[in-house]
Amino acid sequence: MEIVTIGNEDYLLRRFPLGRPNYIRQDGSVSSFAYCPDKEDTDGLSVDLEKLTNPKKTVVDPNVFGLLKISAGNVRSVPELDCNHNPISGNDAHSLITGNITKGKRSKLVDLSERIPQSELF
Amino acid sequence: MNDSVKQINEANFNIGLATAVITSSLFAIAQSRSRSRNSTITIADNKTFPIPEKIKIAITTVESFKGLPANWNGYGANPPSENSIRNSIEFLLRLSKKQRSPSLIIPTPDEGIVVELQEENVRLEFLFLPDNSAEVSGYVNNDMRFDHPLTETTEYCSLKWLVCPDGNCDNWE
Repeated sequence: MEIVTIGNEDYLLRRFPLGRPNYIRQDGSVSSFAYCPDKEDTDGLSVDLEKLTNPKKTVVDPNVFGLLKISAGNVRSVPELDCNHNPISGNDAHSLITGNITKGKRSKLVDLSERIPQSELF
Repeated sequence: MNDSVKQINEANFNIGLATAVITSSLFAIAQSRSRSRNSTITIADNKTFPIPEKIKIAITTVESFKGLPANWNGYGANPPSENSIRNSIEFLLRLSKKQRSPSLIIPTPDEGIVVELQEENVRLEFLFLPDNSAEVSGYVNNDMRFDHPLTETTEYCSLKWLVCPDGNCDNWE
């Protein structure tokens, strides 16, 4: 798969758990740990490039996951963060948010994201 | 709530340290506690307190995370570590002494556990990590105001910051 350029107007998608466990607070906000890397995420945080996929495909199972959507421009507005297309086997849309995603930056990313309504994911 | 009174700085923690020293040690309580099978916690001076129902539910929630499948977040995360589970439960037992209960408990992708407490637009995140370390972060309107390693002092001061922002509350515990 050819690497595509991610423009600031492009959107990135990130799953978060909403079954058990549930990352949604009582007030409807989503925990910033939705943007927390795990031990294997040494190159960056996995997301999908929306223009190469669709929300129903990215969410995998809408009974278990919700979906956050953030523009690449908003990611890049957070100091020292960037995003790049990084296709992997079985997922041409796979991309990475790169840079040191600290707690404060995770919080910014959630603030800059919108949640895709669950009804649109089935 | 006035954001200005929610600023936290080293002075707050120094005041808190003095208070913490003259107050029963929460960590000592935790270390010397004996949790009966279901419903009470016994502290160092042999006083026994009932564990609130919300804390029992919270502990059950934490324990349930042991059974999470691999890839529970869809990005390959493993379940929380034994250390994260044990330390978060001990924290919940300390919270029960203060009559506080969490607003959210979640596992993190890096095998930790987060216990959140919220009052209006102010939130504390207690993060328990696999290496036995822990951190506390304070937020106002989702803006992070502080982030410290969790110690007896920072636990005490952050809880006080959450429930008693002007520092002039009697019996805030």
